[in-house]
Formats: sequence, structure tokens, C-alpha cells
Amino acid sequence: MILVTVGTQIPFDRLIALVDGWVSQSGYKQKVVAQIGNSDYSSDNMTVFKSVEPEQFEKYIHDCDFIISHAGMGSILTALRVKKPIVIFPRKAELGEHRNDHQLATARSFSSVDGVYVVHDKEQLFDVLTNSSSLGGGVLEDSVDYKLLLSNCSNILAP
Amino acid sequence: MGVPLCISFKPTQLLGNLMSKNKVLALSSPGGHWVQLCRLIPAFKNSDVVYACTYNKASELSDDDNYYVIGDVSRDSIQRIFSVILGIVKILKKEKPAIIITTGALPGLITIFLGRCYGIKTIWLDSIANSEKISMSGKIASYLAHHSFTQWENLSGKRIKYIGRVI
Repeated sequence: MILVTVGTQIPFDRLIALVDGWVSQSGYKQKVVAQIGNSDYSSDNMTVFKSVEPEQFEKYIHDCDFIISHAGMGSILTALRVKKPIVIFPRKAELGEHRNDHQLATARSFSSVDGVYVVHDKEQLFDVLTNSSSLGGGVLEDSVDYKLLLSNCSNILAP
Repeated sequence: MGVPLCISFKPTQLLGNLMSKNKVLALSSPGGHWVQLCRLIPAFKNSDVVYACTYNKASELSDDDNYYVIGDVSRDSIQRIFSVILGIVKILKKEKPAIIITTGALPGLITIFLGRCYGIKTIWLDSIANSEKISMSGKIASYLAHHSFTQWENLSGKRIKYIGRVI
């Protein structure tokens, strides 16, 4: 199963339509669940939801083989936590897909992280999807920076 | 420390002298903001925490956790701002937190502002998504909050310090 997710704020039909096109073209037989945000996109190839409550989302995350997502931090951190591969496709402000280009910055920052696969266009996306059996998951480690964050926060919150 | 707001009343009087000594309000928008806030949970272990987000139920929390649902608002849905403010004021009045910590976005910024009005210590942690520049809300928060932090060392400056990061 593939889980597609684009967050709940702004639709991202460009990505949804590309995945839909790939499913149709490739004859992918397994289930594809797409959380599409505030959009009226409909598809015969995918099960489509505008938004999914956290509990149900957690279920999809555990059931899927990999995730296709906009370059949102929630999706990336969640994928790393459950060690599932995530293909990220950043939104572009010039196409009205977000207020600014911070998703391009996120994609740059995470391009070398294990388990995160950055794609920017149809060709790169189709290429990754066609070879999806080779995708591997990453991990969310307790890095030095994370430990630093926790100890700093604890100190500030101490009465 | 952030700059004091130009408000002349004695802020703590608004909540009486009942502000709970170590109570923390941890609040954010949904999605990545919330996932990052939940990464801070281990740092809350010595505090009495109240959580708030827009989800009807937060699956990351246990049934014992004190959780409030707030309305969502962004620059694209600014008309909802009044009901969001009312909802947050209600939480502040009921729970009387001593500290507010938020990972954004606009509801977090509103809470920081309200927190300052009520004399509550306020902390802003800018999202790790802002890796090349501080968010608009973060820039405003850096003037309002007692502490403002970034998760990227290269963005650390006079008003916003590096504190570590969620990954």
C-alpha cells in the first residue's frame, strides 16, 4: 500500500494528479490512499480523503510500504519515526502551492537523510515509484542536537 | 529576554495570584508543528503540562494527559482569529499556566501575545522547516516572547538563539 499525504492547509493537486497518473499508467495493483487537503480531486485509482484524524493516519502509516508527501516536517518526522521510506515532492510558491518556498529549503536540508527521497518533477517521481522496491526507511535517532534541545528545554521549564 | 510590552497594568493581577508554579501550556498548529511539539514531551517530565492543538483527539498523548482542542487559523483564514483568541483565553484563565511553549504557527503566536498580556513566561521554538530563514511568525515572536529559539545554528542571532533540534 502507498500513502500519499499533502497536509490539511493548502491543496497540492499537482502531486496528487501525478501519483494518480502513475498508478493508472503502471497498473499498480495495491491500495493507494491519498490525503489531499481542501481539494475536490477525485480518482478511480486511489482512495481519497480530505483529511484524516491522527488515529486513522497512524494506522495508514503503519500499513503502508512507503509514503509520498509534500515536503512537510510532520510527514518527514513521522516517516522517520516509523522507519518507512518517504518520497518528498516540495511545493512551489510560484505555482501558488504555498506562501513561500520553505519546502524547497526543507527538501535541500533532508536530501542526504537516509529514508528520505527528494523528487522535483514527474520524471524523477515516476522513476522512484517504478523502482519503489529498492526504497529503504530511515530512523529518528536521539542525536546530540536532540539531546541538547531536551536538556535546554528542561532547564528553561524548571521552576 | 524579549522586550517588555507597553501595557501599563500589572499583568499577573489578571489571573489573580493563582498562577500554577510549574504548569506549562504546550500549544501548536497541527501537522509538523504538532509533531515537533510532541518531540519535546521528554523535556516536560518534571512539569505539569496542558496540551492544546486543533485535533479532536491527539493520538500521541495518553488518556491521562490534559488536552484542549483549539481552533485553527492562518493568514489564509484570518476571519477565524477571534474565536481562536477566545478559545485560548479560556484555557489560560482555567489552567493558569506559568509558562507557554509553542512551535507555531499563528495560533502559537497569538498565545505568546496573550501570554505576555497575562504575565506568563513565553517560549517560541521556530519550526525546523525554516532552515534558511526564520518564519514570519518567528520574527514577530522574537520581539514578543521571553525566549525565542531556532533549530538551525546558521539562523541564530541576537533575538533568536539556537537551542538544538528535534532530529
